Amino acid sequence: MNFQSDNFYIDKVLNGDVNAYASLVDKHKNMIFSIALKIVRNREDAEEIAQDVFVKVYQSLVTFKKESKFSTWLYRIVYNAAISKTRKKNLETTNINYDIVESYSEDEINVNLNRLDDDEQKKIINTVLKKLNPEDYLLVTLYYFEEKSVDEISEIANISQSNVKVKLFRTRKKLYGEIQRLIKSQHKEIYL
Amino acid sequence: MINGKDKSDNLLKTLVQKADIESPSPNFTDNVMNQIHAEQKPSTQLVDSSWFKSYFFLIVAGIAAVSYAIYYLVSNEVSVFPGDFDPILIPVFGKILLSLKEMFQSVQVSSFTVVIIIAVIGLFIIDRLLRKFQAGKQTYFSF
Repeated sequence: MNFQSDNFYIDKVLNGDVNAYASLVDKHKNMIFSIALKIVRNREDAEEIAQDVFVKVYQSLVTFKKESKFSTWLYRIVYNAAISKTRKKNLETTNINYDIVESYSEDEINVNLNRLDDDEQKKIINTVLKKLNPEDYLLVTLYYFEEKSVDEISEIANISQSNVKVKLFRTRKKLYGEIQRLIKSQHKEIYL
Repeated sequence: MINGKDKSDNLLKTLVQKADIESPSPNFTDNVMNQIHAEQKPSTQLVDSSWFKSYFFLIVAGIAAVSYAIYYLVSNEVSVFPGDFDPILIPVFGKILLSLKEMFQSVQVSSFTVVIIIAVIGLFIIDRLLRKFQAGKQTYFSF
């Protein structure tokens, strides 16, 4: 489905067309739900948080100044809401220990990845992303999937721009290390 | 020319964009819109209801009238009751007015200013209470 710009729908809602908000929900629901799900690790809770966030955002839409992007505002709200819910429920986030990252060559990974078909590549990246902690997942999806700028990510995650850069650099290393490990284990399965 | 960082960024970007993004239940948007419509209706009806408007304005008018009356009596030292009418309550009332006047003078603030401040605080409390009952808020100061 092709969507118009966020401001198009926002203006319609503010002019009294409440149902235009449904398009905004449709446009952002997957990303909002994914962020919430990654943090709370439970589909029901994630859906409840996402729903609450959309309702609260609707109620505060008049206060949205359009100085930043609507999606940036929305992502920041859902991130904070999910983190707050996690703290309330004392949910433990399982962090994978990436301290030992194998040495790797990006060119080698590139060559190996190109040998795999789309489905295999998809399987690998899904496995790797699942192992990231919520903050790293948020940074990676915002930067590589949503193509948000470092400035916007800094606003959403409430960390400094330099911190975003450092965390992205480390996460990139973790991702490559894990991708290489998975490719190697696939090769072993094939040749053994 | 593409440098190493851009190259690895592009590789990861291509890969991450192939990843599955989770979707909520199919009726997610309907649920959100239903909740929005449901939360809009009661508040609109209650705010627009005539009893709410009339009660609110009666209370506002009452506070304004009482505030002005106190200010008028205190500043002009008006004797409200005739001299021969002297039940128990009148001297008490007179003493309260006098002590109010002394209090205003002791803090070097005009009685009018104090009356205005009391009226504003009173209106704020009434507004909070009405909002609480109308919007079904759980706590006294929740907006």
